[in-house]
Amino acid sequence: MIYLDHNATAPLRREAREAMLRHLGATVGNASSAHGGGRAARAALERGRRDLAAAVGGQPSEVVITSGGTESNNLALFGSVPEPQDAHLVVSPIEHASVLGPVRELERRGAQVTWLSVDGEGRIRPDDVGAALRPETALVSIGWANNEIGTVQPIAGISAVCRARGVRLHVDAAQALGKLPVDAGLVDLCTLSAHKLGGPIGVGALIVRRGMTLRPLCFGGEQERGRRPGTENVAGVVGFAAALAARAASSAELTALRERLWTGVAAIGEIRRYSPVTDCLPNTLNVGFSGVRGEALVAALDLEGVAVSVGSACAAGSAEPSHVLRAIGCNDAEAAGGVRFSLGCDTTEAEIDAAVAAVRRVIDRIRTVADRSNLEGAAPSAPRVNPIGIARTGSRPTVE
Amino acid sequence: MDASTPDARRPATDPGTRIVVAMSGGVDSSLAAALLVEQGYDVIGVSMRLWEGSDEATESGCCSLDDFLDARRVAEQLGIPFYVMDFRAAFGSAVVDQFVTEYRRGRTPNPCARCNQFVKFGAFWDRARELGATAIATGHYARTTAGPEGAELQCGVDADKDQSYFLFAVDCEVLARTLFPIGAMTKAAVRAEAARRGLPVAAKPDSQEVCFAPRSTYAAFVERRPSAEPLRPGVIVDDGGAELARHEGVHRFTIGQRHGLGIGGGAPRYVTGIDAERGVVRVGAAAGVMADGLVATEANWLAPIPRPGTRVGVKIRSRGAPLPARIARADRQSFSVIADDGMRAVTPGQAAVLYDGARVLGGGWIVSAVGAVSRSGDLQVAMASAARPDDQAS
Repeated sequence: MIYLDHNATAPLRREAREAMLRHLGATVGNASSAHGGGRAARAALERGRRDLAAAVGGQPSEVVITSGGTESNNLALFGSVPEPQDAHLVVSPIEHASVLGPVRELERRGAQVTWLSVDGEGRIRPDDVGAALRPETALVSIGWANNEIGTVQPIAGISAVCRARGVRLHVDAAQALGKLPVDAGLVDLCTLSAHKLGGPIGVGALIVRRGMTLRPLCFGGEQERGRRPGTENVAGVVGFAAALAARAASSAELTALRERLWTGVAAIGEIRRYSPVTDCLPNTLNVGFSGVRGEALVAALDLEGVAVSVGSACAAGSAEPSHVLRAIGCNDAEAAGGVRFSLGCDTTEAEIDAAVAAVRRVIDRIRTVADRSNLEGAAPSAPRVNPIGIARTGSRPTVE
Repeated sequence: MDASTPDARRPATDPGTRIVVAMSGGVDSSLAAALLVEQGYDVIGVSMRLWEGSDEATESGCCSLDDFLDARRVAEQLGIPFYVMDFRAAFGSAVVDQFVTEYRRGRTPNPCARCNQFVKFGAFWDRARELGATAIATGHYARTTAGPEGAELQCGVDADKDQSYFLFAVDCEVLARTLFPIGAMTKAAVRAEAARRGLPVAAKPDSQEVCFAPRSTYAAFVERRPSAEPLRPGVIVDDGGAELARHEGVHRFTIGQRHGLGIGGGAPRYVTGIDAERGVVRVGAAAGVMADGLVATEANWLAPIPRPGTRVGVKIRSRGAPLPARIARADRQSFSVIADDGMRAVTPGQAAVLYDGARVLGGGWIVSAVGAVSRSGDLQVAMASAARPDDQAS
């Protein structure tokens, strides 16, 4: 299998696996216990915490270990807005569901939300953030890099605007970490996730800048300074830190591979690139082929041994039109057509070339299929006369 | 067991052929997939997301998350790739919107036959070809055989479960690329074979209802769903035109309906006619729902178009045996058929399906009854009126 879905999850790095196995084999103890085993677990935990903090320019005391990006985002949002009634939030519309969900819930509980606008590449202008701020603004939440199309936001500029106005800034850096330099010192709350960079699934962190008050989501223990009670996932933290320390592919290498992929698929024709060329995650390429549904391309490529994704999926696993693509101006058909290729540190040129060949085979086939229910699904066309189905706007069958 | 073997005469389905199976998570489609795997086909399972059921706590009907999980589990056990694909747009417009429009026009739709025509054997066939398949398969109780003019559609062997009625509108080109692996089996045999293979859905109850609206909620569903077609409240009248009651909309009635009329007392009365334009529902004695025959339009032929006078069986509802009848008139678009002993409750909007023995010749959507009310009239008159070319109701 050619794995080009690293933004969904990256394969566990060898370094992480080995560090976790070493830890699991050698350590018996709850990090809160006073005995030797407990001390060993605590030592491993705090070592990992120091490594995590160092990797993002923070202090160990600022690191709250969580179960992953979703929990970190929930903690940041609900924790920052304990009294949602009339609180004001400024949020990017292209965020991950684990930000959008809590924001909608806060809205339901009485918060006012200003949704920022993004340009055709999904980028937010710091000036727009400044214009959206109000005296009662409790939080600004913006993703460092977008998971679907890879757009990297001008966090330094947004940070300067928020700092000047004294407004708390939360940044979801789950996709950025390991692919870009992440300086948590620029922000007040920073979401991190282990498995996006080759650590284990089920562990993440929220970097909480010193002095930021945060109401916990859970109560019942003093772990993580009471901000996240529960026995710590020490092995997860060990794996997280080891994955961060492992040599990552350079941005230049990944960018070269990504552009090789783009050149290959662009030659197939009738393609649109949704990922920006600059200020984009070096591993991410989101494209749409005209007349091709994303979920059809994903399934067909899976059968060819190439793993890619559409932007988002429902609980059952079928594709949903991407809210990110909608936000950058796509219509419904285009928003259901985006497919994301996300590369990793082990991706090779040969894999890229094989993937391009598979995409060409599959697109050629899909484009020959008569499409009776057009992409918008507005109406099924009349029974086919022309098997190639040129008429995509077929008339509604009538019964009267 | 030979009953599990798809017809060996079928074209383009040699072992190794890629076949996409529509897997609902029920026992029928699960066993269909299992049989095809055993026969050496390159089988891919696809569940169709037709409706929003999967996002809600809808436990009944299809498209619940549990159904998808069941299908996924069966596919995993069979070792075949499995995908959930989104057909909500096609289903919403071709089936659900039409369902609502038809009821609001005083007609009685048949959403399962519409779904087969436009979704399961329409959009789904397109998705299957995108995956490189040259055939599709479903768990319907029906059979196809290769005939001189192409694929022929036959009843399923299990008379209680036969679904050929719902398949009359399938495009004959698609039918030629379709396998019904369990069509030659009884339901009991399907369950037994599923159990023998350890399929986790072997004892799962059958679905009974239209998947997007339980029968008891049709009226509320039709009222709630946005539609360009207005609701049409009005009056219930007797044979003489005397007003008996007011009603909340013609969508609440169907021809032959006896209960829920709100006019209790006296001899049983049945809905004998619906004039949607004027909002009038006519009721009368049982004899008033008898007709000589019917006119159907939007015909789909799976056999050469029958000549006038041809003896056929006709089914105007899914249950029961075909009625002996003969063709009054037939062309590409429409036909009229007269039953030897008359028909009860010819219902505009329902399917009229023509049979020659077990074979489905074709069918159409009922526009009107022929010879209704005047059952005592001369059959020749009925034949003559049935043969009029102006079949279109409006």
